[in-house]
Amino acid sequence: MATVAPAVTHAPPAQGLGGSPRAGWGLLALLLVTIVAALCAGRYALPPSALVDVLLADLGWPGIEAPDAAARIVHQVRLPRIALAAIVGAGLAISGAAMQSVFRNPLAEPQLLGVSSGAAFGGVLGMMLSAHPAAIVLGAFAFGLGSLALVFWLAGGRGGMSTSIVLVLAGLVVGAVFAAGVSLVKLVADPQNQLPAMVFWLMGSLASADAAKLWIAAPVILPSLYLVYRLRFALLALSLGDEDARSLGVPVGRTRALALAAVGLITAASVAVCGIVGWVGLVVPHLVRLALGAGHRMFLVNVTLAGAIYLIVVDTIARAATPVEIPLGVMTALLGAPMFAYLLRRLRAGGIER
Amino acid sequence: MTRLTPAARRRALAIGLPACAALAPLAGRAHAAAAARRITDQTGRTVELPPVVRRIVAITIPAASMILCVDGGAERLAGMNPASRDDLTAGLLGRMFPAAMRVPSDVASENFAPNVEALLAARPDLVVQWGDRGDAIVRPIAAAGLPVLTLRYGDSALAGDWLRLIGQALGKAERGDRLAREFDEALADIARQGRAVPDAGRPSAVYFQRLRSALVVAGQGTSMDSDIRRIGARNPAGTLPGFTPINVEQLMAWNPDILLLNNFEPGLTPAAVQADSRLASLRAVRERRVYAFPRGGFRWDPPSQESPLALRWLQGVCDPAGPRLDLRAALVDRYRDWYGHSLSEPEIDGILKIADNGGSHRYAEWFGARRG
Repeated sequence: MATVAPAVTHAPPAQGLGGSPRAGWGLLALLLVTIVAALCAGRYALPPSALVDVLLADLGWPGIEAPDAAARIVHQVRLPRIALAAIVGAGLAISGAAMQSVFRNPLAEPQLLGVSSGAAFGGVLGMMLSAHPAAIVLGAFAFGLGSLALVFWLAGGRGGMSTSIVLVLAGLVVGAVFAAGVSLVKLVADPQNQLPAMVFWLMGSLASADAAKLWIAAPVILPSLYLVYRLRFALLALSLGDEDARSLGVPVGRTRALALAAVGLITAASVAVCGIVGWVGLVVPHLVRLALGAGHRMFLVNVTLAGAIYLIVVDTIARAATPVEIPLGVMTALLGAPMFAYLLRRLRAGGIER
Repeated sequence: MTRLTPAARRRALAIGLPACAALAPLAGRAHAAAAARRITDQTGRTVELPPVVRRIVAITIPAASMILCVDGGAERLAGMNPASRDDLTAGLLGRMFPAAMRVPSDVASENFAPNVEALLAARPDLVVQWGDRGDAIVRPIAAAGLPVLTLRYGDSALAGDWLRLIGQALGKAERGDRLAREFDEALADIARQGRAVPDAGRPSAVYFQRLRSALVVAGQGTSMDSDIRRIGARNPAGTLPGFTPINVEQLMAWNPDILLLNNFEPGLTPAAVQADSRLASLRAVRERRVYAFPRGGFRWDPPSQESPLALRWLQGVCDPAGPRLDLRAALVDRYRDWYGHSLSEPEIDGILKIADNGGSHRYAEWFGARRG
């Protein structure tokens, strides 16, 4: 762990402290382009003119009436899905960056905390106990928060927060228990009716995105995003080591607890609305680090925007490439793992690893 | 021998008795082996049966209600799939065969994995199991020394042979063969009528194995796909493999004429689909051609002895001219033969889901009771 740490914190020094604000504006422009492109893509052939009509009609342009099917597809299918992908992608990416700072380990990612397993257990339990779609969301969120509390309690509260090894072990234990719980629920669930839905949900999907899910995800994920952003200098100090951070006047235990609480909230909310989507928290921060640098002045902003772009792109492929709705978790792993392998090769070729 | 305290003796008896009970059928079979009967099951295996099958276990879900139908009672049904219990409690089956409610359902899990000890405790002479879901769910039964009759799944037409095989196994080959013959003839007749539908007049219909938590449609290799094509309709999902998840946009791109709802998701009704704003611009929703599959002695979406009536119903809701026969009269007639049961009007309404489907296009007119 310790030998790899400098590789990350002092990674590509080429562009100083996370690039200039120019990179951030560039990513914002790219996000807008991605959103427009994603709005145009889908299984239902929607000519760009119909899309323009719908958007103009929304803006109250006089004399324009959008066709019903086109309006429904834009308002009830594509827009909620794109918005949810952006929020969840941004949340998972910034969670990954925060985890990597807190644990001073380039392999840290949100799932390490055990919260996604807890949320997954809550989701499948909700599915087993009730056919109502809200049961999944409520169960996942409740158990996600519960497992976060459990990890904090196991890690020993304020004092214990200062040792990351205890946190990793606590996350491991909680994750293992709830992963076993998921298997148990799958075993006793009705295989004709409930099991296929559980399997599909566990693979992650934004297919059921709607305004209600946006209202669940946004109020949890967006403030958590802001919290991590506010902690950006403390997290940068933390990634240098506890001693260095303390000497810089950073309250180590408090920073760690706040960052992990934000990560836990984001993870629980994202599992609640779209199941388990892996690899985003691992791949996106590394992509940004490699392309734009790792300084925390703009880094977390760049990671947030890149995470949103990444998940919109991946989800657009998942919903538009084939008649079959491809599970999102499958797509993020399928694209994320090779990307990660490529990064690994580049890092090695650059001689950064010692 | 050491002297046992009374308590220890009771314990020994408690352990010993079920053990003897479990061994009894093994001994019985050794005697019967000389006069064994041989039948070939649906996967081509030769099954050796005792001269008389007194106890039969159905691990495949439709076989339990099929055994009740062929045998006319629950006396020989010694065990069933836990999912079959749902057919007894939610459907009419439990009211027609109250004795079946006492049949143990611990012989296998719902995903067909046998519980060998519970199976042995049920002392079956024959176990009915799926033969096309891997050897892992068949081998443990055979290894326990129990004869296994395996069935295949995938097209409703396969269920004719289920009737034939269960009839032979129960020593009621005549009744089984007749029911199978009627089944095959009805399906052939429906297929003939289906082929006669001109290409331009073929409506498109999509079956949802799941609609509420995700959109999962029936594609190639499912009995629902074969049924939709058999009655002369098109299944736009027919090119996809098995039960496949799709999204709303794909459904809108297909824009099918008819939506068919499953019997598995609680609370799934045409009214719930009509109220889903994402689906509101679909042709089937605008024209209210959304129908939930009926449920009688068995669910009408998967194959069973009731498939001939299920297909007549499907033909009726897909044909703009409506059903070609009086389904209510056919139900009364068939249920008398299948289950020895005289259906009441409210029972028929319940099977055909007149309450749930009543708001759908011409449903009450086509399938409701004639007034006056």
